[in-house]
Amino acid sequence: MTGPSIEVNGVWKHYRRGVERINFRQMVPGPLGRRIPPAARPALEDVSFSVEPGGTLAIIGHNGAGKSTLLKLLARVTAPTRGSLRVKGRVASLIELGVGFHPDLTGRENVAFAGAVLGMSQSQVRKRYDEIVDFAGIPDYMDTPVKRYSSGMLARLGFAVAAHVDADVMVVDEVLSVGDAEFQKRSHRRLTTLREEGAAVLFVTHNLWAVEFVSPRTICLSGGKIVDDGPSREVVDRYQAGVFETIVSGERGSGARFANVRLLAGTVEAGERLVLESSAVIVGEASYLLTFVLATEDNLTLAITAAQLPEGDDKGHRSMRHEIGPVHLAPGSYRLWYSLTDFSEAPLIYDQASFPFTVTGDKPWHGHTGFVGLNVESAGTD
Amino acid sequence: MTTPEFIAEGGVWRSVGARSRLRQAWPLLVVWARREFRVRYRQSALGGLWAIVQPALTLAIYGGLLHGALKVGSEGLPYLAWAWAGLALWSFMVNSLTSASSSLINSAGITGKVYFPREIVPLAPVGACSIDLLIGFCGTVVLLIVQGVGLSWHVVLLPVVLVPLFLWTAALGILMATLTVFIRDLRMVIPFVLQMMFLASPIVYPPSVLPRSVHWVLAVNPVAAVVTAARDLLLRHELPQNPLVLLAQTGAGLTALILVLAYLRSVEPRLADVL
Repeated sequence: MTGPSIEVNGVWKHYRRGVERINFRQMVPGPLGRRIPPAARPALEDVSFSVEPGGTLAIIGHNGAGKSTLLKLLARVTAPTRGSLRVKGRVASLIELGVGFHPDLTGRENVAFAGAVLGMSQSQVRKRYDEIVDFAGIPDYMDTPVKRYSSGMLARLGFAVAAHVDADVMVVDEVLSVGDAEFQKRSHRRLTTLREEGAAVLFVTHNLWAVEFVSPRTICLSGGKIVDDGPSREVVDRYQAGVFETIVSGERGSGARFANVRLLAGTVEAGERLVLESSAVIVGEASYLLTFVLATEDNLTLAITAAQLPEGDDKGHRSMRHEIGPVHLAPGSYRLWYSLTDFSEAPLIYDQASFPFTVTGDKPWHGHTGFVGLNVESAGTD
Repeated sequence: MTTPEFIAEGGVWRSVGARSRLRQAWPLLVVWARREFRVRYRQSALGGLWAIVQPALTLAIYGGLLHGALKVGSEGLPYLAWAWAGLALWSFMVNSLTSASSSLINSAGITGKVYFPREIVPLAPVGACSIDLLIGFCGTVVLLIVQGVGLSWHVVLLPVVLVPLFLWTAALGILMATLTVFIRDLRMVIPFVLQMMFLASPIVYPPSVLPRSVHWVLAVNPVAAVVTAARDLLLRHELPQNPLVLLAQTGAGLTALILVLAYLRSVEPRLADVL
């Protein structure tokens, strides 16, 4: 096989926005039919990249950056508005595990159906069936309707089917977080095997610390455009440093706002400090307060701290540097919210910025959950 | 085996070296139809027997009203077997079209994630209802024997006579499913269309009760042609008296199916964006 497995060349994708209205000309086939009128901002804008057989590429970006649209295009579910796309061979998307699973049907029946939907013939499914069941690790439940499955079992079975399709291109979306540590290891091994057999693998993930382990190269999407492309570690660092983060601009109140906010390093060792540099435009004589909120990726608040606005020149421009910490958190992904506020009368947020960051550190134990690093040293006492 | 290549340019996908569309579609269609059939009767006490009970209930209502109360005849043939032959065929068509028309909308979860030839989705219920039709046919055989009509060699011609019914059901199913994606209102309209088709077909009444002036409806109605021919074979034990109409309906059904498939194919790249 020669040439790249995936070749995306100057791809644009426009979607309609707003309420769907009946458009009779849309039903007309061919060039006479009306194309969907473009939205103000395209979902994808001039995106180009390629992946060689056996290669991997990770894609990161905020929600709405265009990742899902890209996945839909690669799955051939929809076509680009402009530009061209080439995919060699069969695509298996591990986007939503258990696509087509019917709750009333048994595991066995659903494997047959999901395999067929992903492009396997029934004889292929039969040949692969034992392997699939083995991989999912739920041999005793194959004749049980999947509505009786736990969500973990369902996801494992879904992954097992998709991982045995013999695809030439695998699109993996966040799914490696399925199941327990043992299953995750098995999934990683399976993807490595497939890659060695020549499959191209595309990862889409929010799990930033994992990116460099799964792919040497990463592209970062923002607003439908590729804003960064390079070695995974560097791209993730730049992404986390908030270079592409837009500040939620404050339209309320007096017009006080941040001019520039920057998190110096997006990765911090557990127990160390985050460094934030910012400048703000201050208007009038309010009792300004800077608020720092430490939150999980899902914006569950872990800590709130406030600080006085440092003294500055009288023209209302402040440049500041904050050292925040020590960050006694378990390794993982978190988010720092930084706000210019005034709580003297009513809680008022003038401006706000947020940064994802990663806490690194030893994680020698399996199945660790929670946000606080917890070490246990044990010794026999006999 | 060479690796197929898929290329998207100018808003459409094309493939190089891939299996033909029919060969891609067929294995999945078989699996999907089987799933459709299983899901429908899973966890119902009667299961596949509903394929008998449903037309039996319809027969009780219409037979009671038209034949019992209003003395509408059955062309001199035993009423139960005569009506049943028609109802089994009609049930196949109406159940197929009802499920098919909303099938694309209901499968948005799958069609938005994976590509496969889209006609599989509306054709799967047609396949599932074919199994019902087979069960319904067994019911017909029982009635033929019970009512003393018996079977003759003519029964082997039945599949040939049913061809236009399958072609038209497939074509209309795909068309309704596709149009419903764009105009959701059709979901409300289709039951009435089907009701009209039922009334325009000689299923619970003989063609003779219709005035001469509307007999053209029976000529253009594929259901009427097939039902009449099937009764000729099963109840009268003779060859269909309307071979030319059947032939014309086969040609028309095939043309309709080809046109509808071409239509679906041309709007396919836009389906996922609208669904």
